[in-house]
Amino acid sequence: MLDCEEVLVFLSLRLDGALGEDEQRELACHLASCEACRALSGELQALHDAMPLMEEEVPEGFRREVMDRIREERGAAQRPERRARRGVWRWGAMAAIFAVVLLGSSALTRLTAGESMVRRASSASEEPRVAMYAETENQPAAPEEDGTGGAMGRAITEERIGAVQAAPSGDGGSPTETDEDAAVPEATFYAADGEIPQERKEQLLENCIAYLQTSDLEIQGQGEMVLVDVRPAEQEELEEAVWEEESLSTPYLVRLERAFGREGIGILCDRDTLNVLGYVPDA
Amino acid sequence: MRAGLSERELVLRAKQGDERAFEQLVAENETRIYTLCRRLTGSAEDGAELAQEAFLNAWRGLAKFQGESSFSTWLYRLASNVCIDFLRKEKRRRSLSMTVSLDDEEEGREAELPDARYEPERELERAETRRAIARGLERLSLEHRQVLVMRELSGLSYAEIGRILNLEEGTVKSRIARARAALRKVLLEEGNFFRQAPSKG
Repeated sequence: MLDCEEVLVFLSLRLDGALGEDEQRELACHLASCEACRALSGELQALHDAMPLMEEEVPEGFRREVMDRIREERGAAQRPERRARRGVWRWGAMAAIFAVVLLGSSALTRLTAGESMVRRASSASEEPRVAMYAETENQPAAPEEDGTGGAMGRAITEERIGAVQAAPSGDGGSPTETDEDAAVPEATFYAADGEIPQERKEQLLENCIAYLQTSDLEIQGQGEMVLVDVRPAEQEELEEAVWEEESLSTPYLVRLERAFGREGIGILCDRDTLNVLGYVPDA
Repeated sequence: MRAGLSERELVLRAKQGDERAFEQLVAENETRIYTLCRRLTGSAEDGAELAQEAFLNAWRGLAKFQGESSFSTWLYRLASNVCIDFLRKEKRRRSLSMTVSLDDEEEGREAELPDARYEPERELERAETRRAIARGLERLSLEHRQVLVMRELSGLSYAEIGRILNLEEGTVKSRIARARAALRKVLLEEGNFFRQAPSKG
């Protein structure tokens, strides 16, 4: 005999047309004798019937705007001197900045639409990457960071080791961000499949975001980084890494990318404590 | 426009930089994507902005799309991601105690502007229902809202939802059931929905 808890699932399955014949009979049997579940059944049905009302009409001009933005971005990639048209349009500005970097690394000729820009930037030498951080300090998305320009960006990049040492341990992020912690796991459906358990990935993501937020790198500290991969770091990457070599086992390399655009970073985390150890510039 | 082409062909062309092919993909998916963003965020303005963002991300990420899922599923996932990120930031910005959302007003305006030429009373009733459900949805946890929108509005299968959210199908089933129960509970509390949509037992 079904209990009322199971009935809820059965009713829900029935609404989705996913209830088998035997189960239908079982359900009918229970409903016949349980008034509370009959009421539930009717109300869930009414809700289900009303839900299509919540479909939305796309706002006028939506498609045109999408396409305008795509063209704008393509145009910006080809003419880096052109700034994004609208201030609110932060990500368009971003594209212009990438274009500067790409020019710097003379990768422009190889640029094809939609291709991973971060790979381009990463394959370039140290200098253009520094330029990317420097430029970002001046872009409209971060108006509070006004014009100290390239030198500042460089200094920040060099200070990263310090930032690593100052990174919080994974027990709850920085003091100002604690309220947000509960929401962090929701980003986990970005996580690639692997043998690392979900909770550990969530903790890694949380630690890395806390680290990025307290690092001085505005470009990476805005909370929209997503976890795309976790795996043990390779020897080669460890040699390139900026980190405190204090981990006994091979650290994890946690790959984070910006949800918008393809900009990313590889962060080293201790395999046991999951604390941030450092980062790999070109991971 | 390239109405005759399959999604696959459109994606191939778009990958080669064909904007018109991509525009067709936008046309075919915009309602679903906008509805998702609109309902996840509870705001028409944010919904439109994020839906645009999702399409832009799709355009930028086309090279990464290998066709392991359908384009529309992939796009849907991008849109979910954009919304989650947004909501995470919003949550930081607003305090948790904030309960009255702007959307009440917004739905209210919608209610005053129904397409009432034919059946004014019925339209009014519908607008009421919409407003009640919209408010109800907003009071749900993001987890619950998400699966309800995916199932009820986007018509995704349990398996698809499972893939997008990285959940077992069994978990999806029970989460949807609980989400439905949660929405019912909220609407019973508010008292606006079931009064005008009496149960049919």
